[in-house]
Amino acid sequence: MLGRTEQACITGVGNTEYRKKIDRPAEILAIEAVLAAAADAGIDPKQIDGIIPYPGHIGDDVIQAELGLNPRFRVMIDMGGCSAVSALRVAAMAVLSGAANHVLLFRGLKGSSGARKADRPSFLPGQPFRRHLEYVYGMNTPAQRYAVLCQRYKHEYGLERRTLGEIALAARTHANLNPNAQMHGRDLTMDDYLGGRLIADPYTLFDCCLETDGASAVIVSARNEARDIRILSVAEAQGASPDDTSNRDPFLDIGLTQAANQVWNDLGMGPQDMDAAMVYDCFTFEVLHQLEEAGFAKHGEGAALVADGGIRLGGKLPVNTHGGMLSEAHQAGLNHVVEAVRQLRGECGVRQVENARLVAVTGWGQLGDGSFAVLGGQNV
Amino acid sequence: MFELDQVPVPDLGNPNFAPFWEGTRAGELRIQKCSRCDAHRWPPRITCRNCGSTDVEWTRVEPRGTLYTFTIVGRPTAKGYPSVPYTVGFVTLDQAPRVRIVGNVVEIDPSAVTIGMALKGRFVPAGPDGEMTLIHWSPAEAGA
Repeated sequence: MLGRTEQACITGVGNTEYRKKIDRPAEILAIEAVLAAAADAGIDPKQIDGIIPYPGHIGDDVIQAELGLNPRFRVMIDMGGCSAVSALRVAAMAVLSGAANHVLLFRGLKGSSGARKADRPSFLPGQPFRRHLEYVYGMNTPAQRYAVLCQRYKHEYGLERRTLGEIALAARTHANLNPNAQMHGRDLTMDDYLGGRLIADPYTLFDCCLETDGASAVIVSARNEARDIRILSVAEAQGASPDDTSNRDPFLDIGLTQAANQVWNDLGMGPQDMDAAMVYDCFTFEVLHQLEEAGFAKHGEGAALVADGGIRLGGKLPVNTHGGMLSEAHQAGLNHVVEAVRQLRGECGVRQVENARLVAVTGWGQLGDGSFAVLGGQNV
Repeated sequence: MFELDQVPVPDLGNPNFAPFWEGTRAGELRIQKCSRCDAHRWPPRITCRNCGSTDVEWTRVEPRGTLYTFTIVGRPTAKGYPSVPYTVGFVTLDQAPRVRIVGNVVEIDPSAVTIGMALKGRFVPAGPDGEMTLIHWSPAEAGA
């Protein structure tokens, strides 16, 4: 385990606009986001000497060539939606070991106007299983693969559609406080939610995350100054049978369970100490699922946390104050890191969590990989 | 409602899956079983997760089971499946209770599908030349 990492800090964050159908190519968007993050960190982009790209997005070669970088450290992290938080861990290890001083994480994709998800290359593990045992039965999208998890949970513990609806509405309410959110200015009511067309039962339209054109970037540095956000602890783990969900036992086991436990033990802290959480929200139920697995609620009791505005600003645990992937943007979870940093710096304006000192961030990807980080400002 | 002749055919000769596909073609459900510890292995794997052996045999099991979980697909996304809604489920096999098989649940309105329902499988040809045999699951009287 990495342990406490006070000298590894997030020093810069940046992003482009997030919306559908941006005319500029993804390369330009990625460069914009990287330059914004470097400016935010107060460094010359050429000082970036470590780089962690993301499969399927703009490659590191483009960024290196365009910005004239000469990185000493480069590693691909191929863990889907788990990658953003896992990359924080690897970046922290890199700067703590002296392998690099400033490590860049970035995303850049025309997720809305480019190829649809089902038509893009898949990086999911277990491709032979998918091809031989799932695609042939018309099961080939993330919504379908995640729907079976939600359906089983519903059977075991009970789950009201309105609970999932509240997760979608909380995200939209937050997005409406975030002018850069893709869904900013588009109200969502419970009636709208309940009327959403069927995607993959129990999931309907508003249970599913967005597809976005845009880019984001985060810089992790060997620096610990006033404005820098500390990566207090970060861990990752995999669920049983990480390449296959159909025969996973326990079925709802995900890597986050173990990763979060490691972080809580490492810090001597618990869920009650967090001022907010940024939860990888590919689908509504996965917010509730991860809140339970990370210990914010007991198994089967996540609905009570979500009820009565519990995950909205001002609630017991504000979740995804930017709007998340459900309503801000799909940046494969990197926007969750960006938002956690801005909350801890107190930069979030009307959506600011008062006195935010500690923010948890989750990652969840490849149907089995989980990651978990607790970030804190200098006042922790 | 399915256009089974349009379903893309995987490499049926893939050694990890060929015995399964040969089985369905012969109207049998065959799954992997560890030659050393007798644990069923599914989806097909090289190594037994129970004992670590790479010795494997294929064993015939009755295509009967209960529905463990499912989804009703509401938006067409896959070749051969242009009409929605249709149901995809994970079926726990009666004779191999630690094994779940992915398949379509048919002959029942999707809105009536429930977890725990008893299902029986039948074998249906698919692919442009019927070269692949899929398993369709439909409601069965429990114990019948």
